[in-house]
Amino acid sequence: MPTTPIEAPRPLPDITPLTEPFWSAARRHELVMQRCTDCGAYRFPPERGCFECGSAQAEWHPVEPRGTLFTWTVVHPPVLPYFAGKTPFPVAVVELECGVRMVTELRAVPVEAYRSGMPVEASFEDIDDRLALVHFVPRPG
Amino acid sequence: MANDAASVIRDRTAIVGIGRTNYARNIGKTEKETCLEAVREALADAGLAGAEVDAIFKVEGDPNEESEVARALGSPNLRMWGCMGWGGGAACGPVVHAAVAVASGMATVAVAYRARNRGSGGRPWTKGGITGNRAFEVPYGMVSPVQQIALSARLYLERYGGTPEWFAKVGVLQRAHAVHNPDAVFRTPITTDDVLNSRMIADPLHLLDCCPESDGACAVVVTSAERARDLRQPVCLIGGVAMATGRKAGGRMVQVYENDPFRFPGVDAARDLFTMAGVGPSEIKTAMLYDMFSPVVLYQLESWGLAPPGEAGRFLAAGGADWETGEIQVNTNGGSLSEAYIHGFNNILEGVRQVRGTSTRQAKHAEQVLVAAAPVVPTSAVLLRRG
Repeated sequence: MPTTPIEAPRPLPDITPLTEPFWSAARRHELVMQRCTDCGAYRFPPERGCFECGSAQAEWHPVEPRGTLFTWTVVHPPVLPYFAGKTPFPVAVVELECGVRMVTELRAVPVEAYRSGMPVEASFEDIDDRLALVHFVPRPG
Repeated sequence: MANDAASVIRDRTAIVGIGRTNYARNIGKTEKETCLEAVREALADAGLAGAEVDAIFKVEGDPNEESEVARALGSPNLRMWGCMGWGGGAACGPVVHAAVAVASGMATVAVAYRARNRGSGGRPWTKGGITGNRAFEVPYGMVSPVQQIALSARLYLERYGGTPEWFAKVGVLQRAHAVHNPDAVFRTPITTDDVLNSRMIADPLHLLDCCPESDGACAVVVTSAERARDLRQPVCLIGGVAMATGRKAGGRMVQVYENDPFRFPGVDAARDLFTMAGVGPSEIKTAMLYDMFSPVVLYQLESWGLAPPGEAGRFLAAGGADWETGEIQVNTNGGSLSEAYIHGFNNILEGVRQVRGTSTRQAKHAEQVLVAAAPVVPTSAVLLRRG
């Protein structure tokens, strides 16, 4: 019996009350981070309390969508089915100007040209009505 | 606090029995079967009856529920039991719990085990929701533990001026140990080139920088030091125990989200364990250091003060852990990389064998042996020594 290849679904985040403000901001092409109302510390990924001061009070604060490349790897199999046809592919970690780090994809530059500390800026990929993924691209230093 | 704990725990308990199944890619038995096989062997090794077991400790993800095991052993009553989270970080956790339970008087004979069919049972990272921190990682393809460690491994080499040879050395050293170990799943010697020529998994880590996926089970029996002296095995005291979350570990990649990406919870565990045991890192000449991927051994050496920060790669390259001539002997069973990946528990058994003097790669100085679980997540450790 002939089989039709079924493309594996793209793994996308479960959006929860804790994380929804991040994703809806990204959908507006804005980058927001949780910031402790009491001590001002930024935190990411979202948490229900501040690991600096223990405060439960936090707000979502717009941050500059800029940072620098912190580290990266190039992923080979085994991977989740969605990524099977995409290997090898890079995964990057960017340190934002506000200090937090994000796992992301650094686009528009070959991995051979990746350099620690290279300046990058956010680039948003619309996924659906609720969600955009935050990627990064090089920016002039 | 650790000083007070020392008066209650230091050298008050002992590992008196060890047991394990064979290790295999596909063992052909369920985890329920292998668990009891290992536990029964550990009790027989100790010369104790199942009816004497009054405490059981396990790790999250092990399907053998404590009271179920107790029933199968003929234990009339468990007075204490518990389960520790965090996978590889939990490796020593059940032994920590057992030591605390016995030292405090809550229990008299405690069993700890890990049964896992990771070889035949599939990869846990392919399952589960894209929630918590994973929601911010999996969409980019950052999914598996080796990919996570690769992020820090590349940074480590860049920051400290190393090459992938630093990591390869770990696998080569440990394989040389495993050659002598009939339990090991990999016993053919390998070279640095073999590691570097094995296929890339997550740059800069190659296949032979990764542990195999294994089936098997391990168990230990803990009782009081006093009673241990009347039992059949050479006394293996539990000189100190530690558990540590660090500040930002726990479902988070420390190496991504912590300010200092090489400041692991192992540092906190080391401080408390050495304080409790009343020894320092310079006195550790034999260590079992959790090693699901080769760079983690370097991180461990530094977290435990066995090499200065940023120097573990150079330390190993210069022969620091070479057989017999090195300052320290590491993972003499072959470790997770070559003996088997039983979530670190098999390294505890090797620690006991070193203290007893029965390892197939017996170190000269094994009066005290450090056994440390995965340092990059909430972690645990024990210090074993001759009684």
